[in-house]
Amino acid sequence: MKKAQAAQFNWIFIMVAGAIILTFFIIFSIKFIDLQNKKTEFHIARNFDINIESLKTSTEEMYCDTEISDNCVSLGFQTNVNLECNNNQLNIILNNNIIHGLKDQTLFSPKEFKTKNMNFWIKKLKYPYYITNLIYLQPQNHKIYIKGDDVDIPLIFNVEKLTTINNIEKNSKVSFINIIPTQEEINYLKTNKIPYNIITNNEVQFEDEEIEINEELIMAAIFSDNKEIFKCNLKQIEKQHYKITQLYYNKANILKSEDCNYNIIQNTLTQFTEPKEEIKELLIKQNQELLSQNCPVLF
Amino acid sequence: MKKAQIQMQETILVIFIVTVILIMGLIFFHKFQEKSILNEQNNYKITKLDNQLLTIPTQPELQCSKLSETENCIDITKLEAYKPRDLGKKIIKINIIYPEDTREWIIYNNPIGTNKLIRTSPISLYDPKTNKYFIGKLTVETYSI
Repeated sequence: MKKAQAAQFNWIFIMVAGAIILTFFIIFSIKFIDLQNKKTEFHIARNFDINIESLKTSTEEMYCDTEISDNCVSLGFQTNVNLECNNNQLNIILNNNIIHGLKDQTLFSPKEFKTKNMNFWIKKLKYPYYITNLIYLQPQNHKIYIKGDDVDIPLIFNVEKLTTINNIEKNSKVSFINIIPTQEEINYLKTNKIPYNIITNNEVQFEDEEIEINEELIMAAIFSDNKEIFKCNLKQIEKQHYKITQLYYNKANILKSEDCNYNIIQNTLTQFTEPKEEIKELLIKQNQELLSQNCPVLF
Repeated sequence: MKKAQIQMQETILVIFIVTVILIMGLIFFHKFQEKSILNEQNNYKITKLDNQLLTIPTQPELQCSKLSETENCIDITKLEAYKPRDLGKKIIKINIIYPEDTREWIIYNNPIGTNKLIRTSPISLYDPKTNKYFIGKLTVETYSI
């Protein structure tokens, strides 16, 4: 009896010890998987951050296709990307978890997408001086349909002329350029939740809201599919425009001398609080006049 | 009875030793992971700093331009007019190397922390007042605690 009891206690002891060790290993495995997921997310965020930062170094217009070049924006893993606007700053949310703020940077792209690789295009925005780089981004599984006027977009981007509304693929958006869509087209797009916008030379219409733009931002409207993100980018551009205008005003103070008077152009700069075509043309003219007076140009 | 006790003690001892080995293995693994994460963090900081060295001369706030066409240099008058906001814990300075000139500009000065990473890069500078070009050095020092 005692021998049997001893054997029983032994087994109980073994089972308890075994259960404790097993529990320990299970908890360890769960924590390890969690850590590895966090590391993966960190890698994605790091890749994104470094690649977006690198885009700022572009001195000329450039575009990039990950199929050809390793120097493009590749996240390394299939990632859910969401854009959101917070206090007029654009934030990129990766995998619903990591928030990356785009400080002083614009990004025109779909609001939500899932991808590993992205094609992008950088264009300098000059109005009339260099304000910022406009980054246009298209996920590789995304398509843009265009109806109306032709636009000059590099061939690496997935852009197609819209022929029949019923053949539109998933993960796409439609832009009507200087053309009014038919009611049938609008109904189809709304029913199938396909984002669209209507672009003319001086405004873009997202859903029911019209936003004033100038010619330089037509391409930005083509790559965008959400009015909140588009407006957020515009605010960023306005802020940057104001900052650069202030800088040129201060530069004019430094350049002032007995032979060179910058008061006239400074006065025009103070009126340039909002982007206006007439003031832009006046600034270009006044800047050129400085050259004819043998004075250093302002911009 | 004594035999049973000895057996029990043996089992306990074995489990104890196995546990100690497991704990040692875990500590070693944890240290290894920590070191690996620290290395990644350092590599990221270095890459970010290198990127910054490349982006600073091409910023619209500093880059040279003539009749709206940008050039690959830093405009000295813009440098003097530039007042950056929060750029983190770093010092950014530019000085002229050639031709000899004692001018130096500290664009941003916020050295908070004891650990510092320094990167320098040659740059081209242009003075619109004298219409002269210079070779300069851009230094970025990033601080961390």
